[in-house]
Amino acid sequence: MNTVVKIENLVKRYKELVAVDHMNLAIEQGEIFGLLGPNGSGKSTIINCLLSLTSYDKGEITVFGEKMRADNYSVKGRIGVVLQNVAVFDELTVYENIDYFCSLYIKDKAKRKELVKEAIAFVGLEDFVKFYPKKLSGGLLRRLNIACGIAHKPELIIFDEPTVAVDPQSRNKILEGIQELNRQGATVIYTSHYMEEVEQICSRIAIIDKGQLVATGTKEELKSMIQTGETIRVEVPEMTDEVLFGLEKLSHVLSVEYNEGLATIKCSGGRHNVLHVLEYLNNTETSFGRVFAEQPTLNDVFLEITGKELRDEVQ
Amino acid sequence: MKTVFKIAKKALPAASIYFCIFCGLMIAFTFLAGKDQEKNFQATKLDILLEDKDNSVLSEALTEYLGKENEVSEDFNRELVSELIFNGVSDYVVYIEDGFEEKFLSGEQGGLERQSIRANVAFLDEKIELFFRYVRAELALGKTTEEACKAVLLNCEKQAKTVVTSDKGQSMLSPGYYFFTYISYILPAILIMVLGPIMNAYYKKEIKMRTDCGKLSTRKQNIAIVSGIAAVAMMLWGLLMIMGVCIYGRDFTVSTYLCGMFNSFLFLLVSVAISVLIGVLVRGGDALNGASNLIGMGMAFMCGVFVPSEMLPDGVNKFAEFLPASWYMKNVRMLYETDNMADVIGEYLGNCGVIAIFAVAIFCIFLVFVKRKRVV
Repeated sequence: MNTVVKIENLVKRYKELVAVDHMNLAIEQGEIFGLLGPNGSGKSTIINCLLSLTSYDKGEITVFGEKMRADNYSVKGRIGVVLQNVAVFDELTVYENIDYFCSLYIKDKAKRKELVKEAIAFVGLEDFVKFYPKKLSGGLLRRLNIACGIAHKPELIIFDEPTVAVDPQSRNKILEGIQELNRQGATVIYTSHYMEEVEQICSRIAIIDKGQLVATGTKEELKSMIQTGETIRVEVPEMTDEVLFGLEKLSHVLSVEYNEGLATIKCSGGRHNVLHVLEYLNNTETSFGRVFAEQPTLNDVFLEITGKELRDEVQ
Repeated sequence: MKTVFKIAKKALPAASIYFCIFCGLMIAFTFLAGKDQEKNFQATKLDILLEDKDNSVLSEALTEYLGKENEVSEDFNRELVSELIFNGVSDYVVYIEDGFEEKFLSGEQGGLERQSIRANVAFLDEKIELFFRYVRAELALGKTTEEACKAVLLNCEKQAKTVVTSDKGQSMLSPGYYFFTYISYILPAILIMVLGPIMNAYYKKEIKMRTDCGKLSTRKQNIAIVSGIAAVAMMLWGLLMIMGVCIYGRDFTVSTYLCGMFNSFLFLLVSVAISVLIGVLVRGGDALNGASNLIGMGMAFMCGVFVPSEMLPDGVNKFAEFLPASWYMKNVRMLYETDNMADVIGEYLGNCGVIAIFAVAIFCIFLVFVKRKRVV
């Protein structure tokens, strides 16, 4: 596999604040690479450094094997960018906006016309080509923003929180679109703080907190990094302390919580955990209702790795 | 460049309102001023009927005095007076009776009868009284009647140069003067309205970041923006110049028009620099509209476009020296107050240099702000 983006020892400071702290990342060709982190964790700063939109204090960034610089236009031509804030001209129509941003990469008018049409069809804005951005809903505006970023068919596409403040339908359309672009051969970098989105589309994920890379790997690899393997929830109308202690002593059980008729049992890996729990309840003649078993989510991983305390946003 | 035009096109309705209103006013002011005040002004000569029965030194001196600025007819026929007055042939009648000089010298009243036909010639009464006061003053110095009359008549010949001003104090010059004067208001006002949104759009943080991600170099992007802005500004200036020729073509001499054109071109550069600077500092249509009014009108008022600088306090005039429009206006006045441009060409070019320095200085300030905005 070819490494498309390589970030080595990247440090970016805003006066006293260290926004990116000795970051190392390697993104391979064909991946949908997720940058996951709470607000103010440094995701957008990494993207800005990667695109040479801002200078950095230390480190090196290589894209397509070339050192990334503000004047490396050949590399910039192979990158598509969908920034966090919608970047379109209010004075231009949907078509004119896509055409303008495509013209930053493609000079040939005929070719550009074709690409613009394809981009419009890709994001489903065919009925809005003559609309001005102010007439578009939040979801349509995000789709326009995406069309402006991908019209020139880039090999590497960077999506910086593209689904902020959009309705579920538009979000789904956007996520499907990103997967489709990846199937067509584009390498994607996707930043978000929505766990379910990252879990849904990313093949590899980096979790960032306070400017540092705290974990990286596939979903499965990340999930295996945390203690919680499986969470079992059992409806138990009444439970004695004796039964509660008994459950905690079962093999692979990490913790048991009982609250308002619901027992939550967290297990650390192991097999047939549900069977063992239900067998114990039967043996102790404890009546129970519905049973739910869940594998750990990225949310569990994220919270376990980054902690549950609230963060102050730093932009 | 195409995008620049598209953005400019969106700003055209607001700008064209300015353009139409002020072009209309300019034309109206020019024609009103030209017809009613300037062109129609001439020293009025009254027709005076005079009968001199005294034939003294004083009576003859008075006749000569009145004859300097009026048509005096001594072909006096008392029977025809009423008819001449009725038909409007004569405006004023003077009867100098026998013994008039003697009475005057002895300080007695009488010996002189006057008849004003119309109220607006009553000033002639005052003029005659003035003549008597002067003669008395000369006599008081010990002069003889003859010497006194001579001295008064001599003084009357030394007439001060009269500069006719309107009720506002504005010099009544050629209509073309108004054309070039109002340009100093129209140019910055319209350009802020048109170029401001272009700069707003291109230097919006998100757009700037996004375009900086593109394959097109910053230099090429800037060339495209500058070309677009230059084209828009030149189109506006060209339109105004053509309009000037069409409306005031007869009024312009070649040298006046060419010098005025060059002067206004330099002011165009200043206006463009101001507009692009405002475009990166002020965001939004309403704010730009406000800035356009504030800068356009403020500068015009302080630099003597609407109110003549002679009527403004010294402090304002001194402050206006730091505004480019005041140097532009100096040149405009010079063009229309000077018979021969060659005599003042040095001063004219000096003023042009100051305007050019203003343009460069404001553009440098703009570049500083743009550079600061470039850092994310």
